[in-house]
Amino acid sequence: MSVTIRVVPVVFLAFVSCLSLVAQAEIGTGTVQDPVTGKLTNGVQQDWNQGVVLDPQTGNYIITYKDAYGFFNSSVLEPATKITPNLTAQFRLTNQDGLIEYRYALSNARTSKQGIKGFRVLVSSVAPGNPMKTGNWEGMVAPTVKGPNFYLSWFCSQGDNVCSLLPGRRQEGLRMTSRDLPGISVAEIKGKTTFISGLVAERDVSSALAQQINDLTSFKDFVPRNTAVPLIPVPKPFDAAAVLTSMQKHVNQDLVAMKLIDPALASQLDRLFQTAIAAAKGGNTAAMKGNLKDLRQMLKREHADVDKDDDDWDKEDDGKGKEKDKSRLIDKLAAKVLDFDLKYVQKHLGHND
Amino acid sequence: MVDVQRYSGGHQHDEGRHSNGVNENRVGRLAPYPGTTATISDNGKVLEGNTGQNGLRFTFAAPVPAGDHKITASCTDGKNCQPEGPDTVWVGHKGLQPLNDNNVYILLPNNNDPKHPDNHNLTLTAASRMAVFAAMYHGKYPNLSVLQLNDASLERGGIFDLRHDWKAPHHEHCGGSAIDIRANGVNGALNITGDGVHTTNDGTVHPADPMIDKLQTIADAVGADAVWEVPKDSNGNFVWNARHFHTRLTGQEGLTCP
Repeated sequence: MSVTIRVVPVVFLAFVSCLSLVAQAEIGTGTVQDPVTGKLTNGVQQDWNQGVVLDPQTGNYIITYKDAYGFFNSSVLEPATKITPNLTAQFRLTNQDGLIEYRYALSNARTSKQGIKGFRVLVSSVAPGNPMKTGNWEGMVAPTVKGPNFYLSWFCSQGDNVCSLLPGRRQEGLRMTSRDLPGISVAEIKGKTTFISGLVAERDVSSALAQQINDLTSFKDFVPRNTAVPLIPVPKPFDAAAVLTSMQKHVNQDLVAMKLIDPALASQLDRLFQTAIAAAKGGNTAAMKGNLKDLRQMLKREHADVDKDDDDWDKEDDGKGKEKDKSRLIDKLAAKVLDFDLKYVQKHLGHND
Repeated sequence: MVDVQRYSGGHQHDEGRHSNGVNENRVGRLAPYPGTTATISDNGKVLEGNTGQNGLRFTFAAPVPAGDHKITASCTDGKNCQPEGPDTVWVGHKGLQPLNDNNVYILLPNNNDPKHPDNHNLTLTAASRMAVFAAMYHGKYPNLSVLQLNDASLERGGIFDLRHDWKAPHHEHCGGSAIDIRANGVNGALNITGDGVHTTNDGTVHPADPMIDKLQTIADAVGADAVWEVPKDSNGNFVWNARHFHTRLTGQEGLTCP
């Protein structure tokens, strides 16, 4: 008699995560980092409380954990978030073959406890030779290698050292050009830390405590600010339907997720985008022009000056006077970006504003 | 019965691998398929049951180290049995690949640990990001030696047991998303001379080398996270000569180890 063995490998790699309590008192030996000098002292025997504690005086975290060898570690972690940054963006169509110029100004509030080291933001593309170096601020662009986008960043670099924008200071003139139209993305702005933590790696990341530490120090260690960056690809030759489809997706996915637009308004815009895209695909330019006009009027109803050009390009946006717009159904910068993009499409259709 | 095949999964060591104590989790475990009955012994290495007309169904739970697991079957009534179908379970992280040679970095042979000879495996995304990182570093510092890369993950990921004990002191090196950049100055490697907190070989604490900040800034620009690290030995002492940047290449992805 033959026996059939059916192998049913239900779980191939059932790696089990262990949850640890955030506060556990235990006597043991370990290493302590001095919260003032940063020096590490080994072989300390004491009662250890594992967890993360915020030092209200310095704004730093004291983390205490047990390592894989059974030793304790108490380390100072200085977050890169002790800053109150303001990032303003301007954009305009240049005279150079459809290139759009983007310009940023970054300021650091007087109340910040750190200088600003730099920021990084996701973009769809930048023109060759960009971003440009401005004073001590060096621009970099790197492929994300995951999808078609790029990381655009500016960091302060003075001679051989990493520098920072001190509290109370402002850096203007961070600029770049791109063929792509603006959308809204989150800039991740980092303060310059002065403290090197001696004990942050080689720990069990599957524990709840380690996850909390990683969030504090690595993966959420920045201050987010919405800004306008190249995000809507412009195909060459120009394809209105493709541009409008990208805009529609940006509104429905990104702006809604970022809570920059009321979902009801997003739905109204979506319907107009749909008809405009259908008209573009069907070659019905007159209908598309009408849809684009309706879209822009809808934005203008929310922000009367949304179609105001950045005619005062010589004066950089200081970010002031924006509080009054916060109660609208769409964020003003988001509305301004969409209006700019729609106007760009209109221009390609030979529309006179 | 299930057992892991020796030297599989990137481990050229076998001692202690086949025992399966309650807390060890070195070999995969068999268990009755939900709703069926069978007897297990040896902490899940052996499963006994009646095939009936439809065969004996069971589950396999993978252990923390990667490796091939051979499942063998025999009849307990002395009759001649003929198992059918696949008999080996591949355990590991899918999608890891060896880092390619590149003129913007050097792959360091794992001379110190010949029992884990293949230590430069990453996911495609992580490998690509490492290449971008190294290229940006080389572009910015063309007169310095290119980055020297040490441990990433084993060929199938899973536990990277530096002490060959099937335990995991080498955290975050399991899923092909982190790699160590050597910074001890040996053979032209990046040489971080001090960090302001650790005692160096000459017994002093040197000020933080500006290169720590510079390298971490490049990491920021490419979407990586270069964590400065001076590892400890099993006695709890810092090993300055083993200093490096533990570099997370894809955010939180793949960092969780078994």
